Amino acid sequence: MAICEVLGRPVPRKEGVAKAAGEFVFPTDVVIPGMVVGKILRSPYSHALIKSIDTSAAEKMEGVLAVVTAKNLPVPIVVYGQDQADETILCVDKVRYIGDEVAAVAAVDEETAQAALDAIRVEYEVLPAYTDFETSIQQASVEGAPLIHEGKARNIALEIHNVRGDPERGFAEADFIFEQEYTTSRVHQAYLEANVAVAHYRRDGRLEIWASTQWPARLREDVARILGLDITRVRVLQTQVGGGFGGKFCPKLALVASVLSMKCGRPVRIVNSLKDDFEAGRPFGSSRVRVKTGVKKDGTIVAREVKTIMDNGAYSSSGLSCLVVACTRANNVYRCKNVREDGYSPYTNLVPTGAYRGYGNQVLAFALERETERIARSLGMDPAEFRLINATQAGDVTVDGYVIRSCGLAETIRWVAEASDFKTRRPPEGSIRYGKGMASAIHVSGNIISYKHWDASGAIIRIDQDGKVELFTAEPDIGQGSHTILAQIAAEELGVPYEDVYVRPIDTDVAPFGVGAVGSHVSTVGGNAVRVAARNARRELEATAARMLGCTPDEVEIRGGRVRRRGSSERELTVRDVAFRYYVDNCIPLYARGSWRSVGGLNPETGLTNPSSAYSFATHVAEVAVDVETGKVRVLNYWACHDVGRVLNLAAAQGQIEGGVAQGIGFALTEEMQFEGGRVTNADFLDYKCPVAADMPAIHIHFVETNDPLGPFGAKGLGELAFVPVPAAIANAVADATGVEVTSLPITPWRLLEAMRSGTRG
Amino acid sequence: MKVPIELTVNGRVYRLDVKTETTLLEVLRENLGLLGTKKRCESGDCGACTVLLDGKAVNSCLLLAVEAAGRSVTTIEGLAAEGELHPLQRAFVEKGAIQCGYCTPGMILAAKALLDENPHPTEAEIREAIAGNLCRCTGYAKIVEAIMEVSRRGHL
Amino acid sequence: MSGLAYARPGSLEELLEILSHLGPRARIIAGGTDLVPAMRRGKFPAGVDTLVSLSSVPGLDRIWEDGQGWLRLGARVTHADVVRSELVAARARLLQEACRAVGSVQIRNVATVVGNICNSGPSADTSAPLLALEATLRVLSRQRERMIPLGQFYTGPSQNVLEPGEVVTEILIPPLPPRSGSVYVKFSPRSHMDLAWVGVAVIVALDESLSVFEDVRLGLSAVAPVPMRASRAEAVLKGQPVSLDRVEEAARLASEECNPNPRSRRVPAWYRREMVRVLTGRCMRTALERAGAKI
Repeated sequence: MAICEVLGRPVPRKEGVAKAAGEFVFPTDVVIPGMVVGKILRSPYSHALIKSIDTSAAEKMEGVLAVVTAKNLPVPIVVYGQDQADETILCVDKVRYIGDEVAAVAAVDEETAQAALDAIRVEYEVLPAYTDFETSIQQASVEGAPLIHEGKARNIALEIHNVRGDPERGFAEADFIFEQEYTTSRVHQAYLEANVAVAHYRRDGRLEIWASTQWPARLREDVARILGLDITRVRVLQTQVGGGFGGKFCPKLALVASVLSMKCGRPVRIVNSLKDDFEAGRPFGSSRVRVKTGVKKDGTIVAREVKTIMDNGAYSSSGLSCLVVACTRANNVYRCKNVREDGYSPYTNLVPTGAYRGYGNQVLAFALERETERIARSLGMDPAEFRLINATQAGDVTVDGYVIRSCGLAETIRWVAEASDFKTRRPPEGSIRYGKGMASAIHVSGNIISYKHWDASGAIIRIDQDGKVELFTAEPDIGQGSHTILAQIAAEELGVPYEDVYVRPIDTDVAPFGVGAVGSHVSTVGGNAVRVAARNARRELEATAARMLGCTPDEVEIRGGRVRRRGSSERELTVRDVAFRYYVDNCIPLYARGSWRSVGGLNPETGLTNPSSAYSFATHVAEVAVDVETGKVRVLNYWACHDVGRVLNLAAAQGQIEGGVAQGIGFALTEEMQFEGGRVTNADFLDYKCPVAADMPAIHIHFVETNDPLGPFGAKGLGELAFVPVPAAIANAVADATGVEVTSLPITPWRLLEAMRSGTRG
Repeated sequence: MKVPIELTVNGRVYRLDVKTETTLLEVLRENLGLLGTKKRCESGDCGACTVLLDGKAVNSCLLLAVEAAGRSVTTIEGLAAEGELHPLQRAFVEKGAIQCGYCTPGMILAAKALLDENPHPTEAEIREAIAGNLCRCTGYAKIVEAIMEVSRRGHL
Repeated sequence: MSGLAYARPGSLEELLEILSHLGPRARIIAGGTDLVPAMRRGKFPAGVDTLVSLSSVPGLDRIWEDGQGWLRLGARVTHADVVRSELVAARARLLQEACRAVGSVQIRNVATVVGNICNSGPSADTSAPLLALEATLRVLSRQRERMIPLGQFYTGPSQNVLEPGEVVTEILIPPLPPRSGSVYVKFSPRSHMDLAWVGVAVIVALDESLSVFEDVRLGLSAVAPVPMRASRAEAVLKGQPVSLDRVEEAARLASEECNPNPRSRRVPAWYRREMVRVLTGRCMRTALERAGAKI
């Protein structure tokens, strides 16, 4: 692999100093002159008709600047949705979950806004509600059962049915067949920065929005389309996001703030409290996965059947794409070509579901990797060996059509098996039993289903008269360090020091298109776009430098910010000299653009759609200590090996895995949204339990670099895969320690204790 | 009811009229424009609002401004002396302990309070000292490394 | 919640005067870590219109041992103060363990032990140890002084016998008997930041041969509407030779006599009972070890 000047070096994060100093302005810190407070009136019922809304008292209150309902929106009502249209900005005739947006006010301060909400009178006629997805899916087959969305045939938002190869024959040929059912609970992404939008609509026609969103370019398009505005009238602005993890794709706050601003002409800020984010954000849906696997005596998987049900919630958000991933993705870890995939996404009268790091992959990975260990044990095989026999390899086209151009899966399995000394176990100590569990996974590096089969990114580079490089992108940094990595790529490709590259805050007025921080798209697709733009910028520099040095452009060498004729030490210029010359010659600083689009798409040979340009692989091992008298689980050690193609920034890559492990521990052991009659009962950080510093194990990380041919400098995605295998690895470790067939997450102590005592599944 | 109070923040004395119900967090962010202290759970469960009160780490969302009157508050903005980053701030940047950065101000102040009282903590003591600061991005690993590094180097 | 008045008396006399004058209109604020979020969620009882602060009342922040060997904690003593106190480490180790288990450093630096007891939550970490320590609360009003044993203080979840006009000024803890060992264990899913699912406080005192239970005190929290003493479990051990079988029997009795909420959303009642059994056994063994028991 090419030796890099900038990549792989331990460079500090671009905005690190500002964040450490408390100077960094997050979307929740944005203050605009004249800004007023927006607040949303939310439904107290899971399912009800809206008979009437009386806002007259609220409108008359002093300090109240606007009151909106669906009846008096300043724009026509549009039914919209992320993958399916079933939602409106505010409820028209019905509320569908506790938290549903019924009305909104803009007022001079918080207290007045709340008083205005309290003064709005809504008359409801309560309807029967589906407050759990099991009931909903059962009722969906019942003729005449009440519908949550009247326009739909039944209460199912999405159904998926795929048959690959010949599963029936595969099962017929199998020596053994295994079946099991797995469930996971609703969890919340628990980002620390709230969902927020500040919208300012001016009569001269601009609508400016500050938002904590994971896809600013798309938010702009969504807002323009839903509000019926020309896209050039809408401007989305952002510095960086204080955590997203899949929970910040929803345009709701931006839409409501915009219509309020349209009514009162002032900038309107709506920020969610933590309670709002739990009750009306877009948490990750609960699931039930039924797996059937046929294997040969030698461990070869010959057939697989997966049936996944994921709770959609009341409206369709990212939860639908998660269903797609949750019934397909993990099938591509192994080479079995006979697979049946069925998925269902029932509507429920619960807060709509969104995405969570992995987009559903973690759900299927949990089920399939639990089966992997269970099956391996039944066959008397080492789980690592079992995986190696079946592992996807470079050059494969997998069962769902993924084109695998680089693959280090086998290496990751071998590394963790050895590093964790997987074959040995600590002996029991008193009431403590120790166990180890392994899990392998695959993930995309960008996904064409994220947005209209257009998994692409553009980049604009400007080299100013002082030789400093500015990068304009629409790819957000949500904490994963994307802006730092894009700056590194630009610096590497241009031949300038990392310190001389700046990534400007996102402004859709100047930024190109970029899908956003979704599907681990940014490093690969965004990175390639930056690389192309930087290459084009370098050519411009070379052309100007050639004239200055009296040589041809391809003789020009740019390295470390210095410019010279290759092989000659006669004259040396700096990038600054060249950029200044360019500026004087053209009266414009040097601009260059570039773009890159995923090669994913329909493969006419297979008839399958390859979703991504590159695939990352990982295998993890967790070591746990289980107190068999209490059922409490502690994770002691963790090993993670990732094929990332190439490490662009070591600290950032390690940080992604360390963070993924923490979230995975929560998903596996302590995190669970609790509902009663459709209401979230643990909408706070006391009863929704995220791991704290003292809950963490020692984490041992290793990277495999397979140098993907399409990734920038060989790099592939990492952000989501860092989390995907963790719940499975921990569940396997607990099963190993206790003999309990763990089938349900989170593994709360009493569920485990109950399972241990009764010999049932946990 | 508005109560006149005197509050020292980062070495400067402020005289304000605040409502009884107003928290220190609100005063810092809204009255004094010090946005480095972050707001999230408003119930003492996440630590994003951590400041130092007479040198001790506290949740500013739980302190009424009237109760903090007459005392000395240090926010993240007050850490850098004469424009030089505090060693903890430098270490957080160098070690990659900052991802989204939202927990960072509270985390750094909790770490400072620890090191001021216990300059050579064990790893377990560090994890206990920051147990009240939730981080969703980093898994705490590099945060702990950064704090250990500062304690190894000996800090100001 | 809007328009609360604020009073900050500068002496005990002034405090009692204000409380007497305001009666049920007053709400005392000590650390405020429970009060502030409740206030902002609108959970104040109707009629409360004034916060009365203890911040300027002198003499309430001491931890000291009086002439009779009683350990005394003033109303403004924080959990962090207790964690740092060598006196408490020597005289009431389990109370220090309990204080250390509360919340986070940030909470402990502000939240007061007395304030938390007055909040009267059934899972308060210090409640079980203080019950085992047979603590008394000194309650003052302008009219009178009451000494209320903690065991008689609670009347229900978040309810106690305090009347308008009254303030708890200190906790008094009698000296432990000789040859005693104590421990507090908090059981919760995370290592920190949780309310206890079960809290178990044990004090054992041995005879001179270190093989007979002279005294046994078992405090339990989070497993009944109020923090409690498991008196039946205690009775089965008191005066008896120390044996692990007997300890197991006591643990079983404790799990029977506690009364966890059958409708708890957080944790099933059977599990809390079971954890009482398991943890009582473990705490007994630890306390015995610390007392130097010869089993």
